[in-house]
Amino acid sequence: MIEAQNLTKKYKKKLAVDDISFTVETGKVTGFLGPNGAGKSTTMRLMLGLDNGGGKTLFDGKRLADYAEPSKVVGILLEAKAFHPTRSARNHLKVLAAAGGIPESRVDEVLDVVGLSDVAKKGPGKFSLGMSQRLGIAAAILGKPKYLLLDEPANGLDPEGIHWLRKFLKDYADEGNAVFVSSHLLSEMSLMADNLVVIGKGKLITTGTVQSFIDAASGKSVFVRSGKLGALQKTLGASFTVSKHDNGLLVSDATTDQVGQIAFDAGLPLLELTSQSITLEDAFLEITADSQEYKTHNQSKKGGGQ
Amino acid sequence: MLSTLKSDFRKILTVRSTYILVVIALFLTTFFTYLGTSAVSYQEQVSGKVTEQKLPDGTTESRPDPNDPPVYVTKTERNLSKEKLISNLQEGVPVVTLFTTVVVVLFMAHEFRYNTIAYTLIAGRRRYVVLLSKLAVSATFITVVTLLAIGFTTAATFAAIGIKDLTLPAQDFNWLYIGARLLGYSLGFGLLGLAIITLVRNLTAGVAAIFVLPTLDAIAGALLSSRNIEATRVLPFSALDRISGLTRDFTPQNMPTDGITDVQRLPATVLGASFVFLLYLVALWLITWVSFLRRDAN
Repeated sequence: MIEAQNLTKKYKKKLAVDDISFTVETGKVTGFLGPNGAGKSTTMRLMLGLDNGGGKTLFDGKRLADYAEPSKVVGILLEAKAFHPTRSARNHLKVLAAAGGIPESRVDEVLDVVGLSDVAKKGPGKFSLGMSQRLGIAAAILGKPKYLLLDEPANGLDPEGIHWLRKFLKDYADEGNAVFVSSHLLSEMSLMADNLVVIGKGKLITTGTVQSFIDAASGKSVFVRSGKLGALQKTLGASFTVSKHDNGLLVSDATTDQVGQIAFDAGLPLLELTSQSITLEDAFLEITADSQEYKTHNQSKKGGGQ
Repeated sequence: MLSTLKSDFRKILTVRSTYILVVIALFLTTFFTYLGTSAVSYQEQVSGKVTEQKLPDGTTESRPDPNDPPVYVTKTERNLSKEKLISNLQEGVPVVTLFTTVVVVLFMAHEFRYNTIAYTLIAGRRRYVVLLSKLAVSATFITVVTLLAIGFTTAATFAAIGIKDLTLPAQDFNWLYIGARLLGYSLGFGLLGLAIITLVRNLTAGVAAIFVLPTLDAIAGALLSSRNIEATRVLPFSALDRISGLTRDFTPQNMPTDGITDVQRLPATVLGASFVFLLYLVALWLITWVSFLRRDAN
């Protein structure tokens, strides 16, 4: 388990990370969400001891620097193009392997895992963003670490690459490892992550499972359609808040079981009865609405009107 | 520490620019050393019509007639001065040192430019280990290339002597001392460059600094000279040049000490200049060290 405790980072007068604490469980993929400028990358750097700030991060109860071979404990991908452009991909990984006390034989293994064996002798300066991400992931898993900290690893990957990454990270977590991954691809995150840590303007907004995050944003609501809409609205209105929506009714704070039972008892035929759930993206936008550091003109107007 | 060292050696040796810069430096030094040593022929004016002119004070002055073309002959001097090899080393090694320092600056600058410093710091566990490793690898690299430069310069000198049938007087110098001074110069310059780039973390600024600072040093030296203060006693690069200034010591007439009684106007001794330079180097490294340990990774 990774325990981030009271992480704080101040740049002159601006508090970039404000006393953030959370845990990353093993065996799960934990998504790290936040608007641009929320402090995600800074938080990751604080966790790794790369930035000087307050708080501490324990990996299985120990600081990273207390491990004899940290590269075998944590694998990182903080930036896609973190390599010398003319040093070959294989040599780049050999450099990292040497630094981490990792056998060189592992280099070709990880190149094969990420599908870069054919370009191993080439300088990665001309790699596409997707290929660079793959090389970064190869570097992260080089030491077979128990923990992976990945900052936007899906950026630039093609659909096949995203699919591969999702499966790879889920499998990696299933092997008893912990994956902590930030991404702006929320649809992808909803498929990949088990838990979420959400921050905004340097502060922790919420932590929990993906479903609890969505539920917290949307509440429980049910969409129902009937040939006798007026009668149904009157009947349901006695117990719930009901509003008209798309030729049907939206019943707040209700379950499909409750709505179905009431309609049945009242003898009202139903044409559609569905639980309303919002997407992770909707939930994210709703929960972080007040934490957006940089907004587009439309967002600002919308926010101003709310 | 050993794994960090191994990784750093691999870093400096797996970059194309390392080889390109070293090859260019050694080629330039070898080529110009050969050319400079083998250029034994020179033109000397042996005749030309000289006219006498009466000056207003009544005296007479002889001067060449500007309308009368002079006559030259080509002369050959096959006896080289005893200090020729030392002079070649004094001229050649600093050129190689400049290129070597650029390699060392690139070695550190690339960590920040390409953000590989994150991997390096995590794997190295302690920042001082990372810095010690950079120092050790840079010093080793500079030493090896400086020894190569000494070897190539010496080989080029003797190649010219052999091919042009020249004569070099017996070389009964203390070569260990000469080698140590050249190595000291190279290490001093290189490690100063490494400290600067570690401090500024910017490739362009780092490379510019190793070219600009010696120039500023020379300008400051000229200003100090006008105030009767000898630059080698107070300025780092002047002091460093004093260390590599071999011919000054091995050719007594080149030491401009005659008649100077004010000690501040006398050039520093090699030991004194080394002390002056080391003061600057240690002070800069102390600042660099503290900064590297306390600042964010990049």
